[in-house]
Formats: sequence, C-alpha cells, structure tokens
Amino acid sequence: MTLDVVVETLIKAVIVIGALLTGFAYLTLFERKVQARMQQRPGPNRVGPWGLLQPAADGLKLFFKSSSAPSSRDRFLYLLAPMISIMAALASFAIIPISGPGALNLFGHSIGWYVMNVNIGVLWYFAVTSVGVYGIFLAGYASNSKYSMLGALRSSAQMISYEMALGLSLVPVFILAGSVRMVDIVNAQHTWWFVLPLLPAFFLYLIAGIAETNRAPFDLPEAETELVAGYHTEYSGLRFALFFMAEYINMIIVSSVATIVFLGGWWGPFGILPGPWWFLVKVVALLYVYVWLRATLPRMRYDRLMALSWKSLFPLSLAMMMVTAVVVVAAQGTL
Amino acid sequence: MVVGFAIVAAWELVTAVGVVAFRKPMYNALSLVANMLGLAVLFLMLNAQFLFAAQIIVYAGAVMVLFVFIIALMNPEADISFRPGGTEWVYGVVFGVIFAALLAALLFNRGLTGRPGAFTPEVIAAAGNVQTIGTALYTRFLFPVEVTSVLLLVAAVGAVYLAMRRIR
Repeated sequence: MTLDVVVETLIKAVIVIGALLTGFAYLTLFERKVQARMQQRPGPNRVGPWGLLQPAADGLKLFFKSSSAPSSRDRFLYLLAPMISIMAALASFAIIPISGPGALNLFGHSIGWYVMNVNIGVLWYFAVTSVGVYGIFLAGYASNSKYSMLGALRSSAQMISYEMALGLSLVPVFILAGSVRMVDIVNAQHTWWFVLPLLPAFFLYLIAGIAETNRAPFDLPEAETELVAGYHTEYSGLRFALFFMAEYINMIIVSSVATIVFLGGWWGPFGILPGPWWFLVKVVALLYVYVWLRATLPRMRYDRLMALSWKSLFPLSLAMMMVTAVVVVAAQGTL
Repeated sequence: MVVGFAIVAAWELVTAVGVVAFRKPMYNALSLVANMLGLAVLFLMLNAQFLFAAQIIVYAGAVMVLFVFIIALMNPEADISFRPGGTEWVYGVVFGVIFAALLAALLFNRGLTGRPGAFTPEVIAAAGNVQTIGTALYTRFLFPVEVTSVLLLVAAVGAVYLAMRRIR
C-alpha cells in the first residue's frame, strides 16, 4: 500500500460520492417528472428551465429547516442511525466498475474504472447492505415513538428476508462467470449478456432489489396511511435528508449491480457509445422501471409481502441456482 | 500493518468491555456488533477477504439483528436488577480464569506469530480467495459441512414446530 495508491483511492472516493449525491438530487427530479407525465400533469416546472433547479431548492429548504426531535429519544443512537444509513449506501458503490476493459491513463498513471477491485466482489455489497439495516432499525428504536418502532420493525424484517432472495438470485451469475469479482463478471458477458440465459434470475433480482430498497409497491416501512412516515417519522431537516439520500442512493446501487451482473455493464452492441455511457444508459433505464412501478402499482399487504419473499422468491432462486449448476456441469461434459 | 493492528486491537478491547459494562441492554448488543465488525477487519488484515464478508453478513448482519430485535421488543431493562450481594461474580471469575489459562497455554505452545501453512498469500492470490475457501469446503471438509447443514436444518424444523405448537 503505497502513498499514491491511497491518494488515488481517496480522489476516486470523493468523485464517486459527489456523483452519487448529484445523482440522488436529479433522481428525485427525474422521479417527479416521470410520475407527473404518467399522471398527466406538468410536475415541477417553476425553478429554473423545466424545473432543473428544483433539487437545489429542495436541498436549501431542508438545510435551513430547524431540526426538531422527540425529547425522550436515545440521543446517541438517534444521531448515529442516519449516519449508518448513508455510510452503508455510499460505501457499497466502491466495487462498481463503470467502464472497462483495461484502465484509464491519466498523468502517466493507469487508473481503473472503480474505487476498488476486490476479490470478494458482490459479497462486499451484501456485507455493507446488511450493516445498513441497523441504520433503519436504530432510527425507529431511538425515536421512542410507536410509528417509528413499527416502521423500523417492518422494514428490517423486510430487508433481512429479501436479502436472502437477493443474494441467491445472483448465484447463477457466479456459476456462469466462475467468479464473484465484478470486473470478471462483466468481462464474461462480452458476447452474451447474462440476462438472456438467466432471465428468471434477473426478474427475481429486480423484485428482491425493489423490496430491499423499501420502494413502492413494497414501501410498507413508510406506508403513509397507517404509519405516518415509518422509521423516519421523528426525523426532520438534514437528518431526514440523510435517510432520503440513502434510499435514493440504494436505488442507484441496486440498478448499478443489476447492470453489472445481468446487463453486461459497459458492453454495448456495435460499439456506438463509449463504456461509461452504456453503463449510465442502462442504470437510468432500470431507475425508470423503479419510478414506473411506483406510479403504477398499489402497495402490498405486509403478510403478502413476507409470503412473497419466503414462499415464492426464495424457493424460486434456489431452483434457479440448481438448474444453472446442473446445466453448466452438463455442458462441461462432466455429468 | 502494526499500527493498523494496534488500532483494531484497541477497538476490539474497548467494544468487548462495552458488551459487559453498559447498563442498557441495547448498548451491550450494539457493542457486540461493533466488536464483530472489528473482528471482520482483523480477518481482512490476515488476507481472509471471504471471512471478512461472511463475518459481517452472517454475524453482524443477521444474528445480531435478531438480538437487537428481541431487546427492542422485550425491553429487558426493567427485568434486570443488579443486586449488590449476588453471587454471579463467582462464575465470572471461574470461567474468566479458565479461559485466560487456555489462551495462555495456546500462546506459550504456538507463539505469537504462528507458522506458515500451505495457503500462503501467493497461492491464494493465484486461485482467488473465494475459490480457495470453496474448494477446501467442498472437497477436504465436505463431511463436516454437510453435517453442519443437517444440524441447521434440524434447528429450523424445531423452531417451526415450537412456533406451530404455540398457535394451537
């Protein structure tokens, strides 16, 4: 670990965090615009041309809001919870390679298109998200309020349940690619994207990913009609903004991982666009699906949600994994 | 490397003391979570990336979440009373001494640094960390792995049975 590696990683981390926060801001505008279009209304259009400065206005408003907090809160955990959420969300992007193959040559250094290229690859993402559950749960616990507690219980149970299906739905990809390293997985899709042979696994991942990020139609943790705002009921101002950011950044990350493992990452047909653009186009397309679902589908009932995870997604992922393993072994002729 | 180890070791000691020293059960459990995260970092420094991820996913992310759940739901704070004349400290001292003796015996027999085995960093780097562990688990250690999986299955079936009986 020499000094220039440390400096390079730090610079990349700063760039990625800046890009993710900008992405978050414009994802909120994207969501409002697309939803407005689907509901035949103009959407935000007063701040800047086409409402392009709306995220900045929203951010300023949250920044200058006075933060109120319940007096019977657990002071330390109440402050810690949003920090855990946002740190987990930001840290998981470190393994995503946005382009390739090879590296970028800048100032005589060869710089990879990722913050880190670790051997454990996708497992890093699962490790970091499993720590992110604490952010949500502790927010509900530390707020000392019924709505927060119920919302936190729901969302952590939901996240833990869907993490199983999420992880298992990626195992067929590991079997086909023979590696869990992100760069290897993308390179294995040079000719065929994994979404073609593994279409069921892709849908399983997408459903589990939407539930994992607590988004509609699985947004029970913040079911407004019954739980006010779920685990972040008692948060306001910038502390609330941290949870809000974490949710949207998690959407970006689930879409990025789906792009990497199923949609061929930076590879595109005919070489008409450079790698990072292909990556961006695919991620935005998946984010559009997120918004589309939110504008279309009603919220599920909670027991249905848990049944869907344990009785449908989980067995289906296991079956998909076994089928893939048998087919791969049979194709290698060792069966 | 030594500085890093010193930082993590200090973190481990502080959080381990936190597990027993805090008066609020939630803080005890969260100290244990912090301790497990530190342990994962130790695995990482020993070039065991897969164990790092597994430690966080399984222990910090799944097992401890259930502990935290139960503490938040049951609120055991009200049930715990520290009696000044209790005899619990006797057990603490006895088991503490036994455990310290075990650690000391290990230390004197093996030394602080341990011995290099077959899996040197070069061997692991050539095959890949996940691949090395996977191959070992499913060839040489296949029997223990399968026995453990049956054990976990029995535990799951038992839990379902207990839950069903309560409903009836």
